[in-house]
Amino acid sequence: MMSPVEQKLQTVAADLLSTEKVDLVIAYERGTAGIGVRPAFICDPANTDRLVYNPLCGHNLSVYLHRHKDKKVAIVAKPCDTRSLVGLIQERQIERDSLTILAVPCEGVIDPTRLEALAPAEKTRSLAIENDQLIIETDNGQQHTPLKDLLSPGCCTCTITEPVISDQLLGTSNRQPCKTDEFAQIKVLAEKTSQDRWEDFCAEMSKCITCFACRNACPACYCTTCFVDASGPKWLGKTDDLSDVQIFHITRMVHMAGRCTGCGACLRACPMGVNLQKYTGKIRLDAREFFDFEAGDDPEVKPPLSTYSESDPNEFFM
Amino acid sequence: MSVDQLRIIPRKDLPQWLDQMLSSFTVVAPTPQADYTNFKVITSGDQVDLESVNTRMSPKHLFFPKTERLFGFTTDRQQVDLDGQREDIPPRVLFGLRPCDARAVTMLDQVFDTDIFRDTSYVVRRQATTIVTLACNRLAASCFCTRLGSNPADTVGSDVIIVELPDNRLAIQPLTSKGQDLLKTADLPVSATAPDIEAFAQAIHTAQNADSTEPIDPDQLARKLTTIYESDFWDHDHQRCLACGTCTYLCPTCHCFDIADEAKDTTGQRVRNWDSCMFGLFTLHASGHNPRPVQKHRLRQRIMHKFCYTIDRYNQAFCVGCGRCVSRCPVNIDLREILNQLEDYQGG
Amino acid sequence: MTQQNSSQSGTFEPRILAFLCNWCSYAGADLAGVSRLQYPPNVRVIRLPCSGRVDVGFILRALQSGIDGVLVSGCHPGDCHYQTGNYTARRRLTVLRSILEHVGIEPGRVQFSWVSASEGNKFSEVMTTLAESIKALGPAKRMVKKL
Repeated sequence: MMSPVEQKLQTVAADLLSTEKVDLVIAYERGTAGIGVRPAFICDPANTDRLVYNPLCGHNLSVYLHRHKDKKVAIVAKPCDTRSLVGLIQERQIERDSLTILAVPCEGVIDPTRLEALAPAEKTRSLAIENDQLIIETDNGQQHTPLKDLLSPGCCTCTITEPVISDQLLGTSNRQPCKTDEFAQIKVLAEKTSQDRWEDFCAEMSKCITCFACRNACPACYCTTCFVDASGPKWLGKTDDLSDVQIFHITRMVHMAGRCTGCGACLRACPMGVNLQKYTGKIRLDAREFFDFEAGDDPEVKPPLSTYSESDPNEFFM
Repeated sequence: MSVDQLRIIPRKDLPQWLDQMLSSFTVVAPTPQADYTNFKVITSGDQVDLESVNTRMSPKHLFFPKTERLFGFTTDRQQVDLDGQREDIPPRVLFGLRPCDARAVTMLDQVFDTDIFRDTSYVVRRQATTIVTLACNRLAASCFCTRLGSNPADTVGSDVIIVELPDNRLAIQPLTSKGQDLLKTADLPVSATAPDIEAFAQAIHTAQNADSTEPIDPDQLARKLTTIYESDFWDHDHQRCLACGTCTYLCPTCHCFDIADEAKDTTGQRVRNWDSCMFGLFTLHASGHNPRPVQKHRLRQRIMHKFCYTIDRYNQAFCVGCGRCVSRCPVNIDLREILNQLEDYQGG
Repeated sequence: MTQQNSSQSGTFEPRILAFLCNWCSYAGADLAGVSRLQYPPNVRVIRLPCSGRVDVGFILRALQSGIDGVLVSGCHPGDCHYQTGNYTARRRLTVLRSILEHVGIEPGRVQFSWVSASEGNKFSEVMTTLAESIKALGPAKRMVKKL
């Protein structure tokens, strides 16, 4: 059954396209695996009946905007996704005027890994979402699981319940900001010795195969030539030596400082389950502590590494 | 090999057999890592995890490592000394491969070990390895080996095949002389009775017929692909492709690489690193020109390479249907769907 | 830098790389030299137009190559030859320093200072403190490329 948001999304998208207010709608459609969804790119109003919106719509679609700078685009954005859009506007990567933001309500999105663990596709006959429950049908019968037990890691500590910017609200949610500390694991790490933190970092990084899915899924990673791909000078070796992998991630984190909104796109894209939150969380915490800055709050403010203050931290300079 | 070589052991004795193997071989097998399994060198038979259908990474890195040192060099600015010393590969058993992955190794053979060119690093690793395959008794949701003309009990590329019998026993069948040699080193009496042999044949038959989807016609597909190269067939899926290397890095048959010098001061090494046709840098010329400037071209290349160029060249599609790219693609680019669409496509 | 990490006597002599701003710290080093001030010889200097020129890649590459310690030194806040180069550098280095510490690179492996052209004394003091603290840390092992 189609949800009210889905219904409204289809109508609004069809209307925007047929009145030529936009050339392209970036949204979600059903994928090929079970109840999974995937990004959809719709130019023809007749195809808008393909669009879906449900708690599996995790992808942060703002990553695709760079490819469509020449078009008027309507994009479906969850509250946290709108923060990525703010970042892109802030950095003059997209024109606010050529963008129509269709803000959808969000109760948290389902983590594909958790879903797979709970309902392995080969043992599952069907999956369905009804209200706040996931209904799994196996050969042994039906099982109901509350969606909140399946949420993505970022959603379990989410405090962003409202879109920061939007053009059309496709629905509202009663979601309350989570009270769990999103930086808990960062603080645990901070308590450890340098040696222990190093070992933890090595263990995490040794899972990485440098496929660059994290970078490519990240809306803020839009450089046309990434430092990874620069060859004159070459900044980074492409070997499987752990130091190359580590330097890729450290450099990316520095580049993300004050820009990462914590949307979790990198986590979702990683095929190897690298817990990048340990590091993205740190730079977000740093932006807050050092520069009193929250990425994705205000399109008019300069990101912290593009500016400075005379009263910035100075005590570590000899 | 005839079935009179068949060995039967209770499943619970498997760790014991692996322990025996460990006394004369390095054993590489699926072991748990986070919420998936990967091929690792084991030190004890009970570390092996054969529950998941496929490991997250394919076993290709055991023959074609992500980074391979080709040679080292030093210079005193007058002359260059080369050091061609290669890593020593002890005799090893690659245990618990699935039939799709074993079949993929035969495809890599066609690239790295041919009459006109033999890649020493690859051949040394390949020759040192005995492949023990475990036939699948269930399919993962993303499996599609049958589509590629294979099946869950395919023996291509294996030296030994293990089939699970219904009563918690394993039937072990050597397929090559390498496989026979491996079984000789273990205390595994040839003890199969007539009903065992019957059960083995039955299990193979069941596995072979587990999936009834029609196989693709490689030649027809290759012909079609050459005619639709410039068509609108390629206009859609690339839109959501993120251009990461997940599909190609997890693939058991993708084998593209880049050669780089890792040098410091007066010494260095020439290394061969995995590369991916999904990356823009892959085709970037020194002039700055890129013959595949956008993702549409790169996704098309991946399909063309797997289902057209390799069919022309090796008479075989370079895809075994392991499903890794399908299940791990962050944006659901599904080869099975693309194959279906290709077969149905009438434009061009 | 082909020299070994330890001298003949077996004591650890660190290799330290210093990125110095042309207008202040580099001139400060010059002044230390012409004033015949003593400081440990472990430091190699790379002269840059400004501390703002320091890319995090420089520092990470140095650590990856097995450098035992890195110093970035520029003009005092407010004194930048280009008005704001050291201010923006300070933000970037604040972040880098914090990340390096978070991933477990020993605190003190990478250090920072402001030294003006007239501070030959301070330059020699910074170098002495730096060399001593890096010696105390021992040779760099983390993030050194093995290949």
